[in-house]
Amino acid sequence: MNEASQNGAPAAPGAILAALAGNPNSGKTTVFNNLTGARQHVGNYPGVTVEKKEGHFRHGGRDVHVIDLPGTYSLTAYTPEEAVARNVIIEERPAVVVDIVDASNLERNLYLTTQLMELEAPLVLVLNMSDVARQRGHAIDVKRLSALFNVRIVETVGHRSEGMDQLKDAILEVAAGAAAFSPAPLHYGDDIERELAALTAVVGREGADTTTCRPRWVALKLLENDEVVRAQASARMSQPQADALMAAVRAARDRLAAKLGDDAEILIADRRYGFISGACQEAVKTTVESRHSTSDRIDMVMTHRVLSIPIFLAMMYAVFKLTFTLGEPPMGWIEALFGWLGGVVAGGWAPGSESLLKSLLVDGIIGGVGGVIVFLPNILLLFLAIAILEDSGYMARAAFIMDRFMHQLGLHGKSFIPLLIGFGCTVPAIMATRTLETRRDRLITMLVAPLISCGARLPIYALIIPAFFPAAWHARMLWIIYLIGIGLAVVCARLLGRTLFRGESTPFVMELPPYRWPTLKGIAIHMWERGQLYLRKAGTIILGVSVIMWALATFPRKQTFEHDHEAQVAAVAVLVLDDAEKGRRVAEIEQARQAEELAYTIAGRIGHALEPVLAPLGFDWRIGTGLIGAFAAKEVFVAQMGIVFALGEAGQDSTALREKLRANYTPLQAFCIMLFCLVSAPCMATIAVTRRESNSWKWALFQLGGLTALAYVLTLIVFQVGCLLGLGAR
Amino acid sequence: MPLTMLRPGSQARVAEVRPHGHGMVQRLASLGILRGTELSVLQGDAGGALIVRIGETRLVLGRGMAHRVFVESSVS
Repeated sequence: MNEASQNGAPAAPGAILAALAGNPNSGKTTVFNNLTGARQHVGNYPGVTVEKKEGHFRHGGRDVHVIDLPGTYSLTAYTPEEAVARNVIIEERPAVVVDIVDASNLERNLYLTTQLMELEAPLVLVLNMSDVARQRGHAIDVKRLSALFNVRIVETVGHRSEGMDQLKDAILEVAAGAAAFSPAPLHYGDDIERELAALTAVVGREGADTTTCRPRWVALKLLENDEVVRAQASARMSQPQADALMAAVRAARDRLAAKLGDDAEILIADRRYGFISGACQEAVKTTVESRHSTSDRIDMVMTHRVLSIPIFLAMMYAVFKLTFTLGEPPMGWIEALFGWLGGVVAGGWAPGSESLLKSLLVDGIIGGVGGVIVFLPNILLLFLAIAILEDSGYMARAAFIMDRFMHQLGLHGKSFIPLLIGFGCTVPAIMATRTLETRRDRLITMLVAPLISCGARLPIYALIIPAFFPAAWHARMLWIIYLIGIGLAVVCARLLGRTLFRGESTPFVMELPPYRWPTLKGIAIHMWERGQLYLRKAGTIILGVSVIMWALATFPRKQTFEHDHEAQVAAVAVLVLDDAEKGRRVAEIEQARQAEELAYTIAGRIGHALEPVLAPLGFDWRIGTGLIGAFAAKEVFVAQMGIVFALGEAGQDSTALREKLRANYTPLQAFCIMLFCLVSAPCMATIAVTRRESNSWKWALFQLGGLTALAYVLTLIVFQVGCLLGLGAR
Repeated sequence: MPLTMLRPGSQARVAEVRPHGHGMVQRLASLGILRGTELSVLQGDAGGALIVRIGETRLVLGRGMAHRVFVESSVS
């Protein structure tokens, strides 16, 4: 993951480094987009899946490189976002930290500001959404506030791009070291200050690593019981030194608790708010009493205990409708484009002179990559819908509404969104787990997400169900399969929560942002960022595995065939038949040759080799070969079955293939195939994205192995019990 | 009494946040919930999460979290 951050747009030499900090929902992203426009780069911070957004702009003859820190409410190290934001400020030492504050919700937003002041970072305070603040009757005396915080302040209205030039000026000014402003740490009251002074001295004396941050800040964090700072501070010390420091910290915390009756971290938070509310009383005049806002009135309906559910279901239906209906035409175009491309490339070889290279290019690369890109419209539309839901503020409401249900799974409301996306495609579903706060919740959600039946599994059901079940049962069968997936996801989530990820679900708290009209620019950027990640990362891996899958289904090549197909073709040619009939017979011979070839390849041999293992499930070697294809992408199973039954490239609507299947398998076996495809080995793109999002192969392989084992056991039980009950008959 | 006892529409002042796990008190403080905070409950029924309002902030609090926030009636 290192490369992602290092190959990111490098700061030009001599550029000013500015970091944007701020609460989530403070309009930080909008300000970032306004400052940098399209000149952005998204990557990951090394070791964590926190998005790293960078961009740059030129102003007043200077280059400014901007890092958009993750949105945080504070600078403790309890969430990866906060740890990342803090580390960037400490380690990369930006020349300016731009703190974006929602002026209409000043006090809470200034809490982060006080912590940036503690870090003694060179600050520019941005009062964003100052129009909303005025509307709500808050008159902010900027001069007064600036004096109280001793910081440069700029007022902006992000969504109308107001105040951006002033902000750019301020960034240059503060970077140049405008001496007029030097935010100083707060005063925490005599008792805490005394302990702080003593601890600062101990930190200095015991030789803690203070090369990157000031001893006073280290002492403050130690007093607050910050585990990360504790570990870092003692890293360079000898054991006795570290013990001495920790003993001093404990003694100081105990004295404060005895005297003031509370833990130091609570006392310190109290002081910060005390300072803020003092400053706001002086600098902010509120003419209107705080009252129910428009947002609250909308929420009376949207989060209503009865109405919220149908509204929510309607929204979700709309998302799916949008994704799949609007996605269809562009999918068709992309398919056509790749088909055309394959045709053009294949045209480079004269008939009869087909080489391996042609097969690799056309069947392997163009076919494989095309098979992935074809989902891009779906994925972009899904991300578009999600971006609208998120930017408007509805997503947070959805998490609230689903919290009670998700609680039954040992997860909370937020996990619902990734699982919902899973009905479209598991890959973006796993990417969407990023919004979850704890690793426990992320991993559980990630591991069970493949059980939610994705769009690529639909062609398998669409092929099999009509072949084996009476028309009246078609829709019902499909429902049963989807419900089995959901049910298994529930069971597995609960099981994982009680075994591997023991412990209560972390207490759930989340801000409900006010409803806002999403901006076109914001949504477009949001959507593209994620779509691009899908293309780049999943795309490269899928390309590689496509080539491998192609090789498995191609080598070794059969030189001598059991039947002399060429002679057969020649025999057909001299028969007295009309051309259509001749063509049909030649195609049949060709398909028989392909089937013979496939049986001879590694994929075919693996299928044969797996037969003893798969037989108890009611599967033969042909299904085994199809399942190998399904690992590349679930829907490949259908194409693979077409090839093994010597029907050429069959689609899900192929009646010929259905007849073959009906001739060879029983309804019980058919059900077992669907069950196995539903549960077993998620496709390689899922594995790849799980590896990336969990940051370890361990969980990706656990997912692969666990789900395959689960599929095996379940299918085994269903088939064997089904046979005992006499359902195995044709 | 715990915050979960409050009915939608009622107001209260935070008396105590009982810590649970590391950093929870600080996390709530960073969102504006600490001793002395005035809040009102906007939504929430038995079993599910709550929506509370603190000044201009609206927060969703899961049941587990809300159980640990103790409130007293506010006379303002």
